[in-house]
Amino acid sequence: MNKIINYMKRIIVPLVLIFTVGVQSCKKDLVEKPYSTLSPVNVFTSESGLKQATLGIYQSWTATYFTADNPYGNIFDVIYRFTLTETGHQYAAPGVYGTAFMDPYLSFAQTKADGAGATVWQRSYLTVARANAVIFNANKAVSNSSVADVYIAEAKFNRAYAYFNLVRFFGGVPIINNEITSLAQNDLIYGPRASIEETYNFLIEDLKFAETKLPNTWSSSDKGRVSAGTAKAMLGKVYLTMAGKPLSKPEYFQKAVDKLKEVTNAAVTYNFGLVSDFKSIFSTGNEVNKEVVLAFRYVWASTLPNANLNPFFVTLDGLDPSGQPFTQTQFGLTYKFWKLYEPSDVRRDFTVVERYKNQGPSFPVGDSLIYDPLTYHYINKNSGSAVFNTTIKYGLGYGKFSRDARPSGALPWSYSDDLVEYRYADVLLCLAEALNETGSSSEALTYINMVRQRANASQYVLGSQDDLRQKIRNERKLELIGEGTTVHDIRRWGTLQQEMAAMSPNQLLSGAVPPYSAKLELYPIPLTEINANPTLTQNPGW
Amino acid sequence: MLKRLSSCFLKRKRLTFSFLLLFLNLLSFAQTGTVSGIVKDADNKPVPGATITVKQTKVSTVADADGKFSIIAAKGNTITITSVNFVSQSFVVVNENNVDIKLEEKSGTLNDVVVVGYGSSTKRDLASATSKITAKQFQTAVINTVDQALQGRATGIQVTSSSGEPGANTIIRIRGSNSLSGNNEPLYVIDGVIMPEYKEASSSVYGSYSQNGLYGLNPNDVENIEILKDASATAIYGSRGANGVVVITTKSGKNGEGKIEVTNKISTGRILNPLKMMGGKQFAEIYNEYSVYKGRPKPFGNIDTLNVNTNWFEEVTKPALREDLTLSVSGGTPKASYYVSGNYLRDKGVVLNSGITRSSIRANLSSVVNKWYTLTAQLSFVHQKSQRGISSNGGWPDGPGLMEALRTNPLYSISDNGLQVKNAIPGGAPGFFGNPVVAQTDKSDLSLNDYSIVNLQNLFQITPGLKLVVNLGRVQNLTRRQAFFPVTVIEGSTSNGRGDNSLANTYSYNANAYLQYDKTFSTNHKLNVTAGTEYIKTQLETLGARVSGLAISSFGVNNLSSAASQQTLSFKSDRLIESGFLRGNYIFKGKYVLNTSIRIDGASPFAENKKIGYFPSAGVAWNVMEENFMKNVNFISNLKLRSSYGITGSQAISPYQSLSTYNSDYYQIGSSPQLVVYPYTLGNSNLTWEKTKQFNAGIDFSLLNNRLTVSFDYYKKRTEGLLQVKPLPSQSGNSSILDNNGVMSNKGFEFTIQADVVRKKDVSFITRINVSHNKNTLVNLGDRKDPFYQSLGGNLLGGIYGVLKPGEEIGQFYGFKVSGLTQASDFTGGVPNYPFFGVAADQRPGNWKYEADKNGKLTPGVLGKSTPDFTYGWSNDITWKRVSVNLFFMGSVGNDILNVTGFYLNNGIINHSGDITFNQTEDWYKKRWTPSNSHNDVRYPGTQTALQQGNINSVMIEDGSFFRLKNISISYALPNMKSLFKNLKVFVSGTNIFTITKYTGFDPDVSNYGTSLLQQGIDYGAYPSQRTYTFGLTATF
Repeated sequence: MNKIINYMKRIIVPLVLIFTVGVQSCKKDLVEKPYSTLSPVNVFTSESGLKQATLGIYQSWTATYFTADNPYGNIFDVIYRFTLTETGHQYAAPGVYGTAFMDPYLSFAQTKADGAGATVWQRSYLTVARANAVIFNANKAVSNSSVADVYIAEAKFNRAYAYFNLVRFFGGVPIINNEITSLAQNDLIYGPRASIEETYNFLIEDLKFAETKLPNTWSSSDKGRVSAGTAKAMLGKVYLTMAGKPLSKPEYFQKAVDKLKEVTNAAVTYNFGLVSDFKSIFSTGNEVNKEVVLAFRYVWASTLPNANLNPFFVTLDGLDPSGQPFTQTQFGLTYKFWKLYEPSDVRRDFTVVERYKNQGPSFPVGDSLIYDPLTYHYINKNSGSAVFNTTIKYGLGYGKFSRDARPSGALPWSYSDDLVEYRYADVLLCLAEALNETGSSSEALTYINMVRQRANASQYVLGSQDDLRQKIRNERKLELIGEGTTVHDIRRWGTLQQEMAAMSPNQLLSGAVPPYSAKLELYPIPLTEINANPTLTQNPGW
Repeated sequence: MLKRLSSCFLKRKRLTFSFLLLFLNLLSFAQTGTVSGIVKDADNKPVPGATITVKQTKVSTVADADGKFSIIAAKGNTITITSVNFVSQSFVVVNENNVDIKLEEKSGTLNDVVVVGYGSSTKRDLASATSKITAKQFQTAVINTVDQALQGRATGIQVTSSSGEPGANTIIRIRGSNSLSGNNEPLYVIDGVIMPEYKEASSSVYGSYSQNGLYGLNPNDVENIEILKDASATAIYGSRGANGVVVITTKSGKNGEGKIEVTNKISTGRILNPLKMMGGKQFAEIYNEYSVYKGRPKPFGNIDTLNVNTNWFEEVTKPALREDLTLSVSGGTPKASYYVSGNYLRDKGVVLNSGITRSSIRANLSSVVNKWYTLTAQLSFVHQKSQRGISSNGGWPDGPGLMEALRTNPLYSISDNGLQVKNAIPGGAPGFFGNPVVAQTDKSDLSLNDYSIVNLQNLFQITPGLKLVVNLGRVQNLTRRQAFFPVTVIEGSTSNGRGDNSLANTYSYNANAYLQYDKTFSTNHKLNVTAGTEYIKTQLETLGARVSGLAISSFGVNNLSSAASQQTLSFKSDRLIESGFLRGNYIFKGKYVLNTSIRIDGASPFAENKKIGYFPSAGVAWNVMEENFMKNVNFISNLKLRSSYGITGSQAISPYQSLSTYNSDYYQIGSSPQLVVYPYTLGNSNLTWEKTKQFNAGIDFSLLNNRLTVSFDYYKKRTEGLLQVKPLPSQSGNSSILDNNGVMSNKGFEFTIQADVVRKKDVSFITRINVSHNKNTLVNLGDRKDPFYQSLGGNLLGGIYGVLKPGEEIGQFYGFKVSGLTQASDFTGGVPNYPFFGVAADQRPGNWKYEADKNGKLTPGVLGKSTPDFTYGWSNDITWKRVSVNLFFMGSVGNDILNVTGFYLNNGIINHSGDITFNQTEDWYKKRWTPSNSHNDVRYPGTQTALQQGNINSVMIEDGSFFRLKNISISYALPNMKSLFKNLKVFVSGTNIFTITKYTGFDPDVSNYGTSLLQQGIDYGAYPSQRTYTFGLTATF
């Protein structure tokens, strides 16, 4: 008996311990439940979740710096989009610190392996994916379809704008018209390119949906979301673009006139208009003003270091009143461009910085730096010596960014400037151009003169249609340079060859302007994408 | 623990027994009766199946399962007990009382106890490939963590230091790399407790620094280290075994009088291979030369009048001092034992304001509670504080300390405080000058780490052959990172002070239970079965606060709420592994060995229906010496053939990668930022195990009474379903996904030879040589056919790329080949007549000339490889009376190093862009190409004005082979001082005494750029290594 009890003890004690091990083991424990990310089923359960996902689409346009999961994040895509739209024309030049990654685009030497195109492509499809998530789940979150439609309309607008950019950069691109939730969706993940026309048709459908479903304005707490006015203005610009190259559908000029007039005739309804002081359009204290048709927003808040990198790469050292050091200014404009402006034009010295008082600390605060067009360098008036990277010939600084101080405590590359994508002045110039192309030159003149008047530039008088065409094209550069439209305009006008002919070897680091080639009318499909998806065909010549 | 305890306990018994025999012999007289007794082994465990024979009557019997026997014998008869594995023993019968027969195991390596997963065995009974390192082999070495002890001391394991920084991690590969994106580090098991993956808190400025995760173990507490290499040994660890397993056994108390031991080591060190940079006048001369090339006036008129000449390298470095004090108390009774130790380590590095301090406590306690229950507790607590040397690849504009100091213009004065707007070039535009000394002293980058291990092992002896072991343990690794950059340094100046305070807390809950059954049937059949289950849950929490705008700098990072800008981040994840395992070992007549095991692992990080994996193994061995035909072969003392095959896995991927998830962020709408969510990852419902199949064949033999021991292993591994980041077309909304794709193989051999050259009473000389060779091949990348270039990050070079090329090995350096220096003849009318990068205006004689293909195009190619052909170690122990000397050599053959540091210091470019000026080495200055010294040595180009090509070029690739006297130590055991000490030993040792290498950097034993597979063998501003001299003593009371 004792022996049995003795053995019982030997069994029972271990069994208790094994049990404590055993109760831990349970197969369903192996199912993962993440703590710091959300499961998709938990997102679209209410309108607030739907709104968060919808605003998440806007967020896709802004690059983040230093996030928890991505400490070195994809910081360059905004500067790459700037590069693709603002370099490669007759007035672009290296910045005071050189060109670094902008150089191939400045000198038309880009290759399909360059990172700029790849990054922009990638970010555009990120927007598409986020938009699709909202489009295909909105009705799960709210039962009232008219409520859901507003969110879907915002998503479709963003999707359309992503495609509008893609089609202008690369030509026809794969159309992703469904939410991708599984690797098995090969028809989408490895889908081929659509034609340019198909791409336009797809995005026009989205914009048409958006213009009917979006509200005319938003309350101040929702300021920055797209409205019916934004959608109509965008549709008008899309039509104008389709009228030009490469689609060359002149009948679309009239469509553009009609659509843009819906905006200008009801500007008050959409709360659009010209801001009287040109400089204040870009002020960080005056963001999403009535001139802004579309902007993507950056803010450096004390708890939210999400900031715009563009000023860091584009602005001049010490232009920022907070005394910005360590800029990497890689973009400049030629002296010839500065001279295009009339001296009275308020846009001139704001847009192109011919001289400025340096705010330090690289130079003593207050030192005057003046651009010398003969040596292609800024000269420090006090010391008399050329400054910045004097080993190269560089252009004048671009000044629309960083006229306000960086927020206190912000890191050197962190600016709060919004990315202004589309302004009312652009709407007016688009309308003027469409009117002129449809034969209504005198009506066109009123719109271009509205823009010139605000800038304190002289009023144009009526000449030939071709004369006004040149004036409008010129005005677009004076008004909109650096705002993401320059290269797109040149391509739809078909004037790249003339642009290149007008270039000087002094504005390129290589010291030579390459010959024009038709392939330059489109950027190459990024090599990384073709490698990942062999069904993609390359653009001709690349 | 129990086994060690009882073995010491038995040592005393053995003595008692001998006395008993002697006594009985004296009293012997003839009388027939029954002699009964128990046959036991050294561990006091019964030896079943022993043969008991009476010499005179030839009667024999066999001991039963409990080792008991009874036999008829007359007094005065001689009884002989024989058993396989044991030395035969005889005694003369004196009476019929029960006698305890204690058999001594046969000497020789075959009877060495090998700690295997979930148990132990003798080498004889195993078919696997393992290596063992005992504490004795590294007791006089100067090491901070136990992995450093592994370097060069065993085959099949390659240990590379990341840098010379105190606390720096090592890169360890057992039989090569198996995984592209998973972790390739081995699994560490300390006294049966599996260590969780090490995760260090990261800083927003310097990112995560790979500090050594083994700081949690004081090397002085280690008794021995077993390295499990082949599948037969590692498959019992299943999904964690593919990278090999390092099983560490710590010291325990021995039965007997308590012992107090003090070990103290004091070392001083200096930089192994200091660099001499250009002085002020040399710098000015080169700057003038550069200005002439640029078509500008010479800024320095009369160079001879320059009197500033700061040696920045000397200013930021200093001699190192290291103190290492361990106090241990140990002892025990037959029922209980204890080993308690404390250690204090302070290692001040050679770079200003860097170093580590560490204190640790360990208690290993064991108690025999009753006949069937023994409790063993392992308690370990370690605190470490490291001041980082800030020498890693910080990148622009956060200059790394040492690299910055090396490159700083010597014309700046030491008294020029940080952040002056100043320029040492006359007429140059004033710019920021960051004084490297101020940077090094004002910045603070602390790692504060706490590691605790608590484990309770419950051993139940259910029946003599059957026991149950239940382990319950918890491991916690709390790491904190505190970085502070005041306004006086560049990082802080731009944002009015900047700081980081973050933590990463890993805690792992380990529970396992296993049954062990040991039985020998009818003498010849030995069976050993282990069956168990295991549960390991590991949780990781990170929390970080990043602030800028610290107006009151005295707060440092201790009052972050005072900062103008604050950001907090947090993250939590967990992973779970549930397992069952079964091992069966069968040994026939001690000759034929069969080892089998299978483990079933369920791991949470894989896709829903792919979580369960099966990992089987089988091994066979033949102890040839046990065969009758070998009985008379006397010159061979051991001969064994082994072979094994099995499958192991790797699951070192982050959790949640098989799931589709949404993440959150902020976006400004209206006047304030609003919370937004967005699709974040696309799930992969096929994500599953990476499986490594391994074949091993080996031979062990020893000659001349074990005086010459040789072991040779050949292995072949193939890893299938490589976890790799597969690029997706971005149109999917994701640019990549983790997927199982591709095959990698490793094959190689290992060779060890040990010779007892002299084996005499007062003199002995043992020499050991080990050589390992591994060849890695990336067999394929799944459906991806083209070579794949992966950016390795880095801000200073245009781009460092690693290449994955199907059919070739991993770790190749890829870039442009420099074929020579351009000479005057390479220019026609001032225009270069050779293919070049960049612009023609920057081309001039003395520049690098790149090799072009037959079309005149400059195309990149393979320039070298980071993996060695061979690694080796050679250790010599010489003892003469009370003096013992250890000489330890080690090295590698055939690997290359990408010397980015050297490139920056010897490329002849002193002006990077704008006002940034880089100093160059004096060596370059003296040997550089000039019109009057127009050589063709690519290492010494002339003054260049621009970096023509940002990618890797062949000048940066250097032969990393080396042969090094790693350690030499001489110790002396002082004679009889019994009144004071039981024992007193003093020693002096030297580390890194000499190195034969072609490498020009600080140390060829370097890989500081990152831990990923493609980042190996890169020296990028690595913390310099030291040559140290140590004085130490060990005193026992």
